[in-house]
Amino acid sequence: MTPVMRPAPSLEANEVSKSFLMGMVRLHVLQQLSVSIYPGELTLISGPSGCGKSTLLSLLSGLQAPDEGQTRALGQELSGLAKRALERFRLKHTGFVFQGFNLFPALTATEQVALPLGYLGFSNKDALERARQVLKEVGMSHRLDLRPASLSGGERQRVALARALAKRPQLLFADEPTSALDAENGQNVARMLQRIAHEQGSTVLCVSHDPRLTRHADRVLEMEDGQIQRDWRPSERDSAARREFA
Amino acid sequence: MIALARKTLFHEWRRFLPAILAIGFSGVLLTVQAALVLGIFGSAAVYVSSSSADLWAGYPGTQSVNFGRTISPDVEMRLRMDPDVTDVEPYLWVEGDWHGTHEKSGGVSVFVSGINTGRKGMMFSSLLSSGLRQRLEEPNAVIVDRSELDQLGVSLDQAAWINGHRVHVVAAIAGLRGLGGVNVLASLDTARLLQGEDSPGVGPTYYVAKVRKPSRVEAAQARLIANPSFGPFEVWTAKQFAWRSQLYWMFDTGAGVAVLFMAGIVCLVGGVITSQSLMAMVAASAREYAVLNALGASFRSLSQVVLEQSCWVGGLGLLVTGITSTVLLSVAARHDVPVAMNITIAMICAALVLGLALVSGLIAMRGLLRADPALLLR
Repeated sequence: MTPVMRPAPSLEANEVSKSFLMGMVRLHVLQQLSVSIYPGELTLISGPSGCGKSTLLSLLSGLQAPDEGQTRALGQELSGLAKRALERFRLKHTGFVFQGFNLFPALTATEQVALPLGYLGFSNKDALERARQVLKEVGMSHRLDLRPASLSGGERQRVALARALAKRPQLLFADEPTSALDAENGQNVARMLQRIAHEQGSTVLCVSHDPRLTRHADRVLEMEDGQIQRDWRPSERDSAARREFA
Repeated sequence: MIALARKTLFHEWRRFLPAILAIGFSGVLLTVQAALVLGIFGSAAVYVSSSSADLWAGYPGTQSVNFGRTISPDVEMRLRMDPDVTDVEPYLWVEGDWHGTHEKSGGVSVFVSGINTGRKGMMFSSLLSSGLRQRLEEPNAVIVDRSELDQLGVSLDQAAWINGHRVHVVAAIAGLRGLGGVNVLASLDTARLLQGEDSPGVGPTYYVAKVRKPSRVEAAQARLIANPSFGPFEVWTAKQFAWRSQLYWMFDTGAGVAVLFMAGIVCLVGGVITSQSLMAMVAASAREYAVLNALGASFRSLSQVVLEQSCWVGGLGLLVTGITSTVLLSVAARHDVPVAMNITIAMICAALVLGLALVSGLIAMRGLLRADPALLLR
């Protein structure tokens, strides 16, 4: 069997630990966990509630710093960066999709997407043009001038996705992006995440316990009690199943 | 850059309304208070501000117009000797006890101003037409403020008594209200009669003078230093004497401190309400701000959005202040309530209103601390 040639990992956690104080008790969420995530793939972290999957995503995305260990993103050490430097890193390289859509009620779909581009130095004209283009890519070209109150849940999530994608991030983080969506909208969002990874070569790291996402993931990390219990690729399992069937 | 602050403010105006009204009405309270202070304490110097005299000569150390003491008639000569002084006239201040004709009217303390009734008379020149001055020449004729007729228990053209002397109210005008007592205008002859020829302090209380050019006023004042041969006297410019009188009433009586205290309370209450309203707005949008921060918008950029919103709130609050204060002060002035306003005080009030909004915005920025993107991960 030929060894698979992989590019260098875009995200790395090296023996990271993270704990939180819950009242009088210190809760150890992650303990000396190491993992590497690769570009061009949709990596799914799944597991039961409280297993530490969202905490791992927050460490790898630079939203939080580990208590111990190191995190690296795009070859840059994140653990030692100051808050402002982390904000600059996120501005340049990362996109986020959260479970709640968190859209500003006063802004139209186009403005929601154009807003973060302003912080990158885009002019209003360029930002709005890029926003319309990205909204078109996520199938929202017919809802450009509507505010969140006039959009369905699926449409709002697509606007939130477009907002994360507008700056063409190398790293895209998604936390339970499909949990508030119906079957069809959930499938659509999952397909979009996979397409972004494959077509744009972005690193897409997604946290979810939605089984619909597993089908579209290139790699699945199953977590339990702060540890990765299983690291597998659905495509390899499918080929093995097909071979067995044949 | 998408105008997030402005768009949010106009889209969610109902949620910003309490902050705008808090700022607006704090501004109204400040402005009306300032107008009342200017009006009430300004009336302490109505004798100076409504007269065209450039210099006032009175007893040394006089703190306010109403505390004047008799000075020597020779002071008139000293004033006339100055090359820049073109005209001098005496001003007589008499304190009296007024009794009206209405049944229920009791005794009222009045300040009688005995003035030159000539056509070019300087005292109360901006309030009295030459016709009214002429009417004051009638024996025992007096003029009072129209808003004080009820208090004096008298009507126009009726008789009343001051210090037991019969007087006749020939006119009632606006703008004569004073502090500490009711102002009554009379001719010098009538005032002398009311003062009583045999009273210990017979003679003028002040001499007022006109100077050739306004630019020479300070120079003339400097030359008119006390000289023992003319008896004790001190000369002030009209501006100095008006300010001196107002300052006495504002600070030496404690009234000004009370007003400043009230202004402080108004600012504090306005600031607390506004900052709380703004903070609630920031907290309500904390998740959206947290997403922006996750996407790389710095805490500083988000703070600018909050500050911009507070500036909008301040601007709109200022509009509320401007419109409401103008209406209220116009109504007050029409009803003879002593109010006054000038551009400097109006600008200070506007600056305080905007400052209040800005400080509230700075306090409301604390709400951004809740916008931690890590809290969005479940």
